[in-house]
Amino acid sequence: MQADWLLFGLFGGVSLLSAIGVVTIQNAVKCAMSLIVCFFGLAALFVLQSAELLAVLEVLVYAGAVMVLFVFVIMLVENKDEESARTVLGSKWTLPVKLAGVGLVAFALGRAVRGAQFGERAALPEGFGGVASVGRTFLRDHLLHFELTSLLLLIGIVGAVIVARRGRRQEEPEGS
Amino acid sequence: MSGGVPVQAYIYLSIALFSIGAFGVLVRRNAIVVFMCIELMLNSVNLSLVTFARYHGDLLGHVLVLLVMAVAAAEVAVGLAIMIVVFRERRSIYVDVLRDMRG
Repeated sequence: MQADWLLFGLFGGVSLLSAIGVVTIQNAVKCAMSLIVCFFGLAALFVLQSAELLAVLEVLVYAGAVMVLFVFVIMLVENKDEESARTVLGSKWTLPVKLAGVGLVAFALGRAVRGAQFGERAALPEGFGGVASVGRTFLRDHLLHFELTSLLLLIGIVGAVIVARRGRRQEEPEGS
Repeated sequence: MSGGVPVQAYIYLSIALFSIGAFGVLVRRNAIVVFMCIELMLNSVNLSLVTFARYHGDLLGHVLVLLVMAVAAAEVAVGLAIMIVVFRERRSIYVDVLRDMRG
């Protein structure tokens, strides 16, 4: 029981601190590294809740593929003029207002959770959260959603390629 | 596993991560960092989905997390492509410089 709290505190603290880092660090590449650390912490929390497949996918998809894409794009669009020195949007006095707004929402959500009554966790069937059980649920009971997801990914890939290519053609109109 | 830590602790952590991400979306100038904060918000929701899936012993939450991951991947691909095009056209990705669509 004590070990559970220790692990939760460790990985929850890591993900919380690195999330704060994402918002506060000035350099965009360092923000991306901080976000990767946050994803690893979240993956560990997934393992603690016996979601092994999702933990692996979190590291593969988010910390791997998505963040590599982010770092590539950051390096492509990096500009070193004086504009990049400012990280905060708008004037300084709006910061406390935004912080208060977000804090108010978080407080309301926290109150709602505190009012809720949670019983004991349900007993888990054999192999809960593994590849076999999640795959069975996804591919047998929710096959339509799976197919729609693959369609969405296909549309996303084609859309990304078309959008990125169209911008280049406008830059050099006479080029083939 | 995780028998000792109550459900509330995970949900509070999820709320905290979501709020940090929302704050980042509101205050950061760099559009790519804003994007990363949106990813953070999506992941905090994933954490609460996994928590409730574990609480109910139901794999539907895991399926929903997989859907969120797929949507996030598609969103990142298209969004970053748009960002590259915007940078090519305007030489800037700061959200207060790109104000053409402001009414």
